[in-house]
Amino acid sequence: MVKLDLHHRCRSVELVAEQRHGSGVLALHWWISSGTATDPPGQLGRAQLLASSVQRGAAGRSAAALAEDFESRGATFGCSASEDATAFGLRCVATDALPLLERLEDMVRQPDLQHKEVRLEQELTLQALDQQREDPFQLASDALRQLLYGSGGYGHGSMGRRADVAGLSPSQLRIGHDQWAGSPMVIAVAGSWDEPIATRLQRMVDTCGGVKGNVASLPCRPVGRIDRDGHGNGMVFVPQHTEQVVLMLGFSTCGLAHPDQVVLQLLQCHLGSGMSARLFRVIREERALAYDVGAFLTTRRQAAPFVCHLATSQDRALEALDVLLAEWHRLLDVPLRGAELQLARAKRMGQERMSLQTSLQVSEFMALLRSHQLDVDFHEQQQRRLAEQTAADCHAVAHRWLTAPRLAVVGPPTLEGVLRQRWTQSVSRGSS
Amino acid sequence: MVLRRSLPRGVAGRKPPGPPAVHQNILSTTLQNGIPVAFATLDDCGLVCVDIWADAGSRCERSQELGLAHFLEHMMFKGSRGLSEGEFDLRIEALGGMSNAATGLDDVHYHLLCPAEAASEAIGLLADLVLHPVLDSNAFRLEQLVVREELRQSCDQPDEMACSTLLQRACGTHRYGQPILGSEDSLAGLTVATMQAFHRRWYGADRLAIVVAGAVDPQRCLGDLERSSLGQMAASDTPRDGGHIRALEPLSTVAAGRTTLRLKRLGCARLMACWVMPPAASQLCISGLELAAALLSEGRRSWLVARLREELGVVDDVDVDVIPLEEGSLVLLQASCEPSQFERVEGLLRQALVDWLQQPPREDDMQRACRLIVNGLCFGLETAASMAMHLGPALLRRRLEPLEKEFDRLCRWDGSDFHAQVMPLFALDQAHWLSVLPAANG
Repeated sequence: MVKLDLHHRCRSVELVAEQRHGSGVLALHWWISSGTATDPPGQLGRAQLLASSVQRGAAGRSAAALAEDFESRGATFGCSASEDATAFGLRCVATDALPLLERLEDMVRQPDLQHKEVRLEQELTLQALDQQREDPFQLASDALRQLLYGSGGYGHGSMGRRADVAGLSPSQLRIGHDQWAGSPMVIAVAGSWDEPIATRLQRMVDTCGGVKGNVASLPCRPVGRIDRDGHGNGMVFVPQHTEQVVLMLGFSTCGLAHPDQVVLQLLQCHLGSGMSARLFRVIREERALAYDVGAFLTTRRQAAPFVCHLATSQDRALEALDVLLAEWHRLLDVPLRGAELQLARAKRMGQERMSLQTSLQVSEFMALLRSHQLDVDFHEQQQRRLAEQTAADCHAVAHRWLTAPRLAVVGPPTLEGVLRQRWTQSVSRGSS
Repeated sequence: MVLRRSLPRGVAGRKPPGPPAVHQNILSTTLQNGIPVAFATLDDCGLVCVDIWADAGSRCERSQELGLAHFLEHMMFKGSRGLSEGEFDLRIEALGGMSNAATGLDDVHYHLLCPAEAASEAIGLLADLVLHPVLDSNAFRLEQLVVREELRQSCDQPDEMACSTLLQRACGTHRYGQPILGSEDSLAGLTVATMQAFHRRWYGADRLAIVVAGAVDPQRCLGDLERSSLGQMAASDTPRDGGHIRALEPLSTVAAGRTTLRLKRLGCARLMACWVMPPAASQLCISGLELAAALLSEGRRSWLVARLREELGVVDDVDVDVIPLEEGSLVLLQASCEPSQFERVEGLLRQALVDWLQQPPREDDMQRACRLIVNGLCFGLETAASMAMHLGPALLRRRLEPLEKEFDRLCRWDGSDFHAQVMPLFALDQAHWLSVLPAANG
């Protein structure tokens, strides 16, 4: 489990580090609490374009010179934006770390954001958006996100909307970058580090925390309107001439720090984790309706999506929707049996152990926890909470968060009518 | 029993400074029936990965058995001599573990990851699962539908369609050109009897290998393996290189040329190429190919990425992959771009390759490529599962060696040898080129 060997703070910029002796590797996550949820209307995609553009020149060093600095040392490096944060990740040989930390600080504090480089990233993002639309799962996921969050902060994918991305300018990115200075930051490090590295890291924290505009505490930033009411009857159909039909049933739930989160994790394990999971058994093993079936719960500051998904043949889409909805009803109607709860607990504990194997995973987890103002011994606390939850708790949480489903479907247009009709019948039953 | 100990310490030689120290201890031995076993000890991880490898990939299929190796991998999880259907998953996951399997052209492997304290029990369960499947006819019919869904799902992914088309056109009738999943027709023609025969034919003690990685106690684990179905298994009557063992069918050339594939629902065009290379046993050459792939497409400073993506922005992505294979390795190149830019990209990419082939790479480029590969490998080997995945194929082919030797081989190439021996293998006219473009109505 994670342990804290170094802690330093300057106003809302915090350093946490774990020493993992002997690995020879240093992994770092620099977490800036300003993500895609803060993209302004008309500029959806700004946070991600900024994240990719800062790598293309900083403090007067060109994109090629920066890349050479990292790659000539065999280091891996990247920066990307998610809903709640923009995060830099670095993995390198510990003895190479000092000069790379300097480059990292340059990118965070003094990105060049030259017009030519931003333009190039813009073109690449537009291509990537086009390619993303090839994947039916991605289309379903985008449609579901719209249903769950509308025009709120979580309502668009990290790469943004095509028209918005095409119109973004370096000056708009610069405004986004100015917001970093006022945002809480966490620099989380795991691996092998020595005194000079620790000193350098602390100096980075003091420099970033000392800039004008940095706030004294770690406030939660608003993520925009979270549309828990959804639109229409809660279903969207995306017509595509695909072989299969993708069904995604989703709910907007709570954030990582919410007390119900641990129970939702148990419900996710029960429904969709591993080959003994309920959905896998019923949909794949008993009926052979799908190859890919599962459930996931994404980590978010608030309103995390809880999603059950499958892909099936066109001629079996109605049957698959019936089974998926029946399983949802079952979750609300029938409390988990003792053995089911025990299995879900074992899976969740196993997942937590498996998620912290590498220095990179540990540094990312520490950054995530501290950015949510959670303690680094969160795992231990979580394990105690897992053991305490009862079937009645699970039932209550399911009723609290999983009663307002939204459905996204991707498939041939001829199926829309029949699936929509079945959905309407089922949802009216669920809400009666 | 003799345990050979190798302690990789990192790269020595001309690439200063070296990669991160590799602190895993790798021990190799054999069970009494001859099955090779490797133990890779990773400190403090608290988890154990057990990975059973079988020399039973899709190349072992006969002409009427297309898709059988992969279908059998699915059926393994449907019950065994000692485990009812679903019991394996339930027991492993109740221990806090997880399991999976994968079928390749050469090999198939079955692996699980579990807390170290559960390793003994997990070994017994996995061994029984893989060696004594029940292959019930009702389960067979149902799983046939699941595999059909897997096949249909792959049809909706343009990258998978493009890749399988490229292999088919490049490798012709060779087994590497046939899809691992098979086709809907070939799946429908498979029977329980052919599957049972396939299992008998290819899952003998002489065609298996076991890697256990993580927080492992080798002595205790060896005892667990000997007591499991793996240890009880009789050695095959037939020597490895004779009898029922299929001879290698060397793949020496691809059908060189250029063809086009049109796909509906395509957002980006792809330019792909496939070269046939020396087999996986040619380890020095494989390390040269890995260097070439890194020089061409690993990182923003690599030859193709720097020119086509970073400077011109005409490709979204460009990637060169080496697939070491027993009957002839493959190198695949893929670049994706906006469809209207395709012709320009094709011209630029081919010219960039021609330019690359002209002279030996610069020394600093060789060093960068070498460090990216070695460090990438070391970073990856922090987990038990990736360590097992790395060691498995080499152990199965009796080619396991210390990691430091692998690193040394990479760094041994100098520019002029590389130019003389490796780069000519990438001649443009020796590849099959595939243009993947949107269908007229798509």
